Formats: sequence, C-alpha cells, structure tokens
Amino acid sequence: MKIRYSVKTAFHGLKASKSRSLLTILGIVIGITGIMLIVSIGSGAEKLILTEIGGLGADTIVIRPGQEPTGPSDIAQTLFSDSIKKRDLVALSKKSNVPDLETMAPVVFVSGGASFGGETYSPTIFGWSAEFMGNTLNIYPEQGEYFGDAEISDRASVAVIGAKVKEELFGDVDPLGKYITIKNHKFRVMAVLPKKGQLLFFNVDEVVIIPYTTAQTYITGTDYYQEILAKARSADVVDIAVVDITRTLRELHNISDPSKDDFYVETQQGLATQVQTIIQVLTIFLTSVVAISLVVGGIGVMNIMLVSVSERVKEIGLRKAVGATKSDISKQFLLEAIMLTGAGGAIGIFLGTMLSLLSAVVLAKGLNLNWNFSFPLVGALLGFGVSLLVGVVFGLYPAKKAAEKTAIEALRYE
Amino acid sequence: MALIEVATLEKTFEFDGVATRVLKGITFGIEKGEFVAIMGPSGSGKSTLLHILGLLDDITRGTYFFDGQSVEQMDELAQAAFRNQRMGFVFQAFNLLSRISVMDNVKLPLAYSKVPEKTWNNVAFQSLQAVGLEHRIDYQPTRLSGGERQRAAIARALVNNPEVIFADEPTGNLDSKSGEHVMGILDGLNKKLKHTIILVTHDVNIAKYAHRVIKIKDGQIESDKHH
Repeated sequence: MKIRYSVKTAFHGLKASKSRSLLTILGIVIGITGIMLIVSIGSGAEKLILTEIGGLGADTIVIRPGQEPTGPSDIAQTLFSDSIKKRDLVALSKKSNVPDLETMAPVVFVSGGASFGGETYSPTIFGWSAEFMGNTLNIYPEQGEYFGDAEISDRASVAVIGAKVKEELFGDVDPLGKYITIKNHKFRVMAVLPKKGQLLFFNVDEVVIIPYTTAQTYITGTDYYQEILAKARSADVVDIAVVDITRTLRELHNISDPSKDDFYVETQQGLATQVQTIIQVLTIFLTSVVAISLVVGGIGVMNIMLVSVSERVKEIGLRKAVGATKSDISKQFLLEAIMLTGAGGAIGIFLGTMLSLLSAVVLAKGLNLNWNFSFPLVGALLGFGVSLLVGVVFGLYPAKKAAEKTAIEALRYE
Repeated sequence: MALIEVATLEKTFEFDGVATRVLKGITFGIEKGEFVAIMGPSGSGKSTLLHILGLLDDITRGTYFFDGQSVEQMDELAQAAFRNQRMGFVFQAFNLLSRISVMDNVKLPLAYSKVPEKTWNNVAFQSLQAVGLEHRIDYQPTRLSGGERQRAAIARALVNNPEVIFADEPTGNLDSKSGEHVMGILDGLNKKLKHTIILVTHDVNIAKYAHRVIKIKDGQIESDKHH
C-alpha cells in the first residue's frame, strides 16, 4: 500500500472520531509536556548555577572541614566540623607551603537577627572579609567602603550590609556610621552593597558581613571556620595549589591515610561537575517519573485502537476482499496509532515549550533570577521520539488483532 | 481449460465443537465471459460457495483451480493479489466506507494494486462513468440512494478491470427499479466488456439475466442449466 494513501487513510480514520482521538492522546500530551518542562527547567537551573559558580572565578578554591559529603545527610557534619582553624590559615598563607595561592579568607557562619532602632530583620550573616568577597564576586559598595585587613586583625565591630537589610532596618535613613545590633553586640555600618539579588548560595541583598575574627570573638565563641575561600595566582595553577593545600593540611593534621582526611578541597571545575551530575541525575529521575504517564497514555491508545478495530471489522473485511494483505491492514492500524501518539507528542512539545517559556519569565521576573529560556531541543527530540515509540509499542497488538481477521469473518461481522 | 474449475468441493464449519457440512462435493466449471447465477434457498450454501470462489474463504476438501492455478497452493499474498487484480466484489450491503467520498471508495482497490498513484483519479473516474455516477464523485456514500450506492460498489469492483465479478445478492437491498438498473449494468459489463459475472440470488427474475443457473440445495448441486 502506498505510504501517502496510508497516511491519508489513517488521518480519515482518526478524523472520524475527533473528540475520542483528542481524549486518547491526553496522557501522551501530559507526559511529553512534563518531559519538556523538566528538561527545560533542569537545563535552565544548570546554566544558572554554572554561571554563578563561574562568577566566583575558575581560580577560586574552597577548603572545608570534615569529609567530603556524599549526600544531604553529610552536610550537617561539615557545618559542625571544627577541623579547619587559624593554624591552618597560617600554614596555607606561607608561600613555602602553597606558593600558588594569592589571597585567602575564612568564612564563619553566624545565626541570628540584626536590629536597629525598633526594627529587626533576619539577614544571612557571614564572618568574612568584605574586601575578599567584593573582589571575588566583583561587587563594589554603593555607599561607604569595605572593611579590610586592619579591621579584621583588630576584631573591629564593623559591618557591610545588603540593600534589603538597609531597606528593612533603616528605611530612608542613611545607615553609614549607624550601629546595628547582632546578638547584643553593636556593629558600625561601614558600607552598603548594591542590589544584586541571588548569587550562588546566598542573596547579596540580604547579607550582613562582619570580620570573621570579630564573629568568632564576640558572637560564635568558636575557633574554627566553616570554610576558607582562596584564590590561586591563575586558573592554570589551581590543580597544583590543590595538591599543595592537601599536602600541607595532611602534614599539619598528621594524616597519612587519605581516607581519614578531616577536610576537603573543592575547585570551581569540580563543583561545576558535581552540580551537572546532580542536575542530570535529577532530570533523569523526574523524566522517568513522568514517563509513567506515557505508559498510561500508551495503554489508553491501545485500548482505543482495540475499540477502533472492533468498530471497523467490516472495513477490514472489505479491504481484504479488495486485495489488502495482513501486512497492509496491520500497517494501517499501526500508522493510526503512531499518528495518534505523534500528534500527542507534537501538542506536548508545543505546550511544553510554552510552559517552559512562561516558567522562565516567572523565575526571571518573579524570583529575580538570572534565568534564560532556551528551547529544550533534547527534550523535544526525546519527547517526540518517545511518543512515536509509544505508538509503535502500544499500536502493535491492536494492529495484529486487526490483521488476523479473515476477510469472510470480518465481512460477516454484525 | 475453464476459468474456474472446482471438483468435489467441501466446506465444513465448526460452531461450538459441532461440525456442519455446508458444501458436500460441488463440481463444476465456469468459462471466461459466462454470466452465471447461483440460486438456492436460504442456508443452501450458495453464498459460502461464492465466498470460496472469490478467495474470501478456504475450502475444507476438494480442488479449486482459477485460470489453471491451484488456489490451495497459493499463499496469503498471492490470494490477495488475485482478489485485487482478477476479481471484483459486489455485496448486498454495498460495504462502502461512509467516512470517505464515493471517489475514494472506488479508489480503494487501487491502493493495494501496482497502478501508479497519479493515475488513480483518472481510472476511478472512468469506472464511475461506466456506472453513470461521475456527477457524485465528491459525495459521501450516506448521501446516495440505495441504487447509487450499489452502482458505486460496482464501480469499485470494476476499477482494476478484473476478469470476474462476484455479486452476492446485489439487488437484495434495492427496490425493483434500482435493482433492474443495477442488473442492467452487470448485464452490460458481461455483454459489452466480456467480464465473467457470478451472481448469487434467490430471485428468479434476477437469475433471468444470467445465461446459466446453478441451483444448490443442501450443499449439493441440484441442477446446472444454460438458458
């Protein structure tokens, strides 16, 4: 049978029961729309995170206490691990130990709120180096100046605040020189950051940065750091610097067995690879979940195709009487199933694209994220391919049933 | 050699494990260009015989040669090709597909033939012209009268220019005027275009169009007479 004629015949067959055909492909439409959305959002999230990781610079190295987490449950042990302290900072600062490091700044996480006058706000508080943060992220104060090494070594009670913190605590009042209170300790506001929104793991607008030495002395009372951020001389020497850092810390901590390391070192490249892996695994997992709806949709298609075969027994008989072979009949019903699921796939791709576009707009405007829409080509190809495959798999049985009918059995059917 | 030759033909159906012999040793031959009516009372086996001759049903025992070729030796593809190219069918219930046009219904056998697709419209139009339905090509079958529907079915049977046309009670669903019109067309196809016509009917007036009448009773030939 000629392919053009077969397609036309299949189209007529489907057109004869438009509502039923549309309802039949709903499962496929939902499944493909889901796949498109997941692939699109997964790819958008990956790009966003990688851009922000990239924003730290390829020359950035992060040293963290504890063993490298292998899952979410390990993150707590990293946060509460106390293996990275000042002695480590001092050792790593020595050019004889790590010649390729340029600068370093430890980070101390501080919990609690900040207040001014009668106003209270819960910002993200870091004991850090404001200068290091500014240089690393290319953020420069909108008002005032960053505190530097002098304030850090003096354990000065000074703070740099984000735009949202300023808005919440000070309103229209100029915050420079005013004192905010964190855990009963007063900090003089030295600088206000420009509006930047979400960056990697924190929102710049909601941050308060105080010297890490001050945070340890007056607020946390601890002598360890949650992480040390370091900059290598260039991206090319990052790997050498990581080797030197690891060797230095192992010597200092008397560790001979690498599996007993009480610290771990991350580079931006390593982090990017991890993020890519996590997002890819998540995308595959979610796509698999959505694929279940495709199976359900496929069963629906098979059901309707079986009904169609029963309804068109006489037609099958007639076609056989005028010369159709088993293979012709089988191909015709299979083509109808494939056209049905293919149409579902095409509608799903269209809806998925529209919803991906809409979610990109909502994420970019609503959540102020640097989210860019890109057409999920992989999702579209995957979705369309899968929808055709569903048509083949679930159309085969009804097609076989149709083909098996003998001409006379079909013509006699009432 | 005759176009159609059957010998000691038997057909047995099984319903719920009970075997029923419908045809019990039928033997005859039909020459090219004959117009044969197969008659008999209801349940005599005349339609079953027609279905077997048209390769729509298998035989249980006996032999059937079509133009010298043993039908039992043919595989499914060969039988389908024979039905497509050498046989045409006209059914009592017309069996037109209601969702497609008259033209597309007539083109149906062409879809399974080797006729080039670009000539289909022309071939189908000529076939519709032969039955006087060229003005109804775009109609859906549901818009046609009973007589017109049967003429469309004849046009479909003719489209591949087959040697034999099998007609199973072709006037059974028609009024007498439409019936005469349809029989006139079949008669013309036999006389002018030399198509072999094999017709099943229980109507004596319809059987009069044939040159030869084979009467079947209880699965056996009761008589075989030429007019």
